[in-house]
Amino acid sequence: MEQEHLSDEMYWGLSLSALTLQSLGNCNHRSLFGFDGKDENVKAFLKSYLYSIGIFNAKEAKDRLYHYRHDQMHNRMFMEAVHHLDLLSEAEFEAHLDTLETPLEVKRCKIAWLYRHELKETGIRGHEIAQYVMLMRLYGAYGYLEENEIRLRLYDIAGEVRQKFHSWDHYHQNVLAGDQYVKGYEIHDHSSVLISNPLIAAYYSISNSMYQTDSPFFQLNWSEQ
Amino acid sequence: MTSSFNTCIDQAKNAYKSRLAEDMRAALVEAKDILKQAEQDSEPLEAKEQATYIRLWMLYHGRQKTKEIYSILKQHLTELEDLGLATADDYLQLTRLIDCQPEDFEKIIPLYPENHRLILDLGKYYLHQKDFENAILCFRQVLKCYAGHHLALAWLYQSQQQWLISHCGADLSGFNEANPDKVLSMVHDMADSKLYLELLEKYKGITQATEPKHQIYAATAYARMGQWEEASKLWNALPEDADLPVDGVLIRAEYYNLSRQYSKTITLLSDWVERDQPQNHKIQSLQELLTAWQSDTGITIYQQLKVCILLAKALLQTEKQAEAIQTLEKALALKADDPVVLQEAAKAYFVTGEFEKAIELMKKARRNGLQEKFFLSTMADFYFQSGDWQSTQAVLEEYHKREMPIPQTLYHAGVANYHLGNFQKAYHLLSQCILAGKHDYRASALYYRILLLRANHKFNEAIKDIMQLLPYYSNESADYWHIMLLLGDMAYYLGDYDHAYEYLINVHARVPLKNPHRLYLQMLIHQGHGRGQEQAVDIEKLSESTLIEQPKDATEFVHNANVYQQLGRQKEASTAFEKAAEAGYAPELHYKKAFYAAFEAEDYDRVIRLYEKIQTSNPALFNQDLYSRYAFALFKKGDYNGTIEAYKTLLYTYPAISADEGILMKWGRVITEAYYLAGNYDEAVRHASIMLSKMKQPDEWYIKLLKKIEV
Repeated sequence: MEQEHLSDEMYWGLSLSALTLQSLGNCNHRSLFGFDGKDENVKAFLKSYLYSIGIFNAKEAKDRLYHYRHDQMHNRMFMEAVHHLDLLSEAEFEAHLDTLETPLEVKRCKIAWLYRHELKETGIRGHEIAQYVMLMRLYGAYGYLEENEIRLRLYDIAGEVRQKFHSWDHYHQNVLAGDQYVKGYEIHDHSSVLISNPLIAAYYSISNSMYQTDSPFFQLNWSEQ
Repeated sequence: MTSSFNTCIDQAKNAYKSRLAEDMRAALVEAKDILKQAEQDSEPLEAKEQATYIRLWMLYHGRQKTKEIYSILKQHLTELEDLGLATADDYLQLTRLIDCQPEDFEKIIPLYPENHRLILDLGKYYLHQKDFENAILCFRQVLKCYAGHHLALAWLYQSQQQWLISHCGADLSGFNEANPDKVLSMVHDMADSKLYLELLEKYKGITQATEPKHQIYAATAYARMGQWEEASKLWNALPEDADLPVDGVLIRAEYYNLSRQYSKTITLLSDWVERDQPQNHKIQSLQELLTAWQSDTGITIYQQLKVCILLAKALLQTEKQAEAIQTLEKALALKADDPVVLQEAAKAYFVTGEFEKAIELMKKARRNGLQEKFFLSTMADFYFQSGDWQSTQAVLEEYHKREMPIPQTLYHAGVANYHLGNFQKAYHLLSQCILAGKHDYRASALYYRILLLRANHKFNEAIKDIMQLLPYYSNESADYWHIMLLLGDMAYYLGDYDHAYEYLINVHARVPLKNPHRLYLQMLIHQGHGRGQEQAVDIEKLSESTLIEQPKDATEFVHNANVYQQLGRQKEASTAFEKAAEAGYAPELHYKKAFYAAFEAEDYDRVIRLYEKIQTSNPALFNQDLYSRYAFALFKKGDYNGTIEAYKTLLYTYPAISADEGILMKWGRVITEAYYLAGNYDEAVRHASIMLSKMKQPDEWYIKLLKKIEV
């Protein structure tokens, strides 16, 4: 894939999806879509990925963007849980777990309990925005979205992101925690995390590359130029 | 008064839950007035109620981002302390603030030296103050108790990275402290194997790279990257008495398990199962606590759990199932809700045949944070190994709705669908599995796709797959000869008897054939294949004795039918095929075979009866050849009107017949005769005339018939 000419602000916006996009596989951070939709194998992969998250057509694709943009996905659920859990004692929390119906609800509730202080202000909005931007790029590669719409949507979301997060680290850590909450899992073996969890591996790698001159993220400042 | 106060408190709580700050404030202000009034009336509320009220104010203020928050919260904390009800959770409201002061931590942390949330806040404070070493200590301490705290993991990484940059510069080329050992140890702790090996290369000459410590770290780095051979070389070069750190022991055991050296795993780990957890002594100050954390290099609970998991795996593989379960039960005694241990225990119980227990443990693991994809794939594996195809398929359908498919799930789902008869779905899944590159399931997936294609009579495609599969097997393995047998089988079905004979005779020379392939070979020899060549194999000739005396099931009836056919006993062949069909074995196919055999045997009663059965088994079927033979059987049995009707149906369904002179001539005579014998002379004459008009030279038979009619 060739490097495309992207404005600084555009590149900054696209980089909001750097972690999630890299965790999917070999992507090109410097290109608008991240993947080459003209390649049949890539297209088959994108189709399979979009199917796995329940997106089968252009309408569902747009609907999902709407839900992410307007905070109608998991962040809302997380924030409700956090504010509810804040009022419970440890014993009340344990009792509350027993009232939940599905294993996923229990896992999410435990993660919300674990992060209720750290993420009270931001929720897992960073994770949702990363998903939002990544989906835009994938839709672009797959043919669901035009370049111009991606640009407009990126400019539209940038303000909210800068207001909520104060650095790339702050934002990326939110992406990690959000992913953990949505999927409901815990990694216990940190020595093999680079292999077992592509998202954490992407965090390590991108966080390192921000200091390397040959990296696409070198000197990509968080605040506006 | 108490009830109105409680109402306000409830209102404030509800407002907080709904994130309605102003409503919360209004309720709390109202509660404040009630509280004041109660004090004035010398009827103060209970301390517990007052504490709840103060905590709500703290939650309310905690949402704001003003400079005064610190002092407001501190004031509230003092009130709680005065009531004697301040808890660790209350102190957390203060410690999480960026303005929290060192003296606050000095005071609070020794009160709750094991509260991971407070330690986490202390770590964040140090990170903010750029005191990376202490930050690292704090985050490590949190992860020792809560390994699943991914934010702590990220902050730990951030602190370590910043520490590295502060010591070596952004590109890690500087040596501010000229202490490469410390740098290397830090990178080892970060589990960044690539960077570790790069730095080790860079620091050659500066550090003693051959020291056992660096050798162990380098071996660990190679192992973490999956380069086990390199790791193994370094491990083998280590002195016998080299003292491995815990992570080195764990990864070495992992290597032994991967390379199936289970006895070595058992030797290496048996001493580590019973290691005691370090005992915390009374801590008086924050500094004392930091020093204690610094010197604590003992095994963590998660490492101890991993010891048990690796050891149990090795014990299971060496058939020591009871010991494996005992080891995992020890792990569960350490941490009863660890999802990975629960999953491993479930696998061990499954191996010992305790299916119910295994399922129960898996459900518990899922509830305690096991990733959904691991839960579903392990459950599918259990069902797969038990041969419960329906459940395998259902679980994996769920998996594929949520997760990207992996070779294991594609293979299991493909095979399950194959056994359930969903051939199209199975083909799709197996093909996806095969296309997923090199992996452990590719050969097995190819094998099942071959069976699938063979079952659907797509022999050419199946043979192409066999060509892809053959490189997986050595020429002498049983699997190789099984594939050869499949090739023989397909060649037989394709009617390529020369190749079928070659494959089957070669397979039989190594692995004695069983029926039906044994019979195929006998039939091929009976038909004359291999005649003149020296018979290299020992196989009896086709004869009466080849027949199964009292066939039990459909396949044995088919076996006998094939023998009867080869022996020229068509009538008995027809009966045997019919019995196979009646037993439900491919009824349409076997009724057809019975039909043809009966026709050969000129048993027209059977032909008529069998045709009706074929029609019943597949009403949509209309086969010209079958139908014309049926019509001929009617004719032979003297049902002339039936013959005429059948002829009309045939012409109506296959109008092309009247244009095909060959067939028309053949059938024209039968029909004309049928009209004649049925007494319908007008039609007989008409047909005879049509037939004669199509002939260059009139057929004597028609002339004679016309004369008879005239008379």
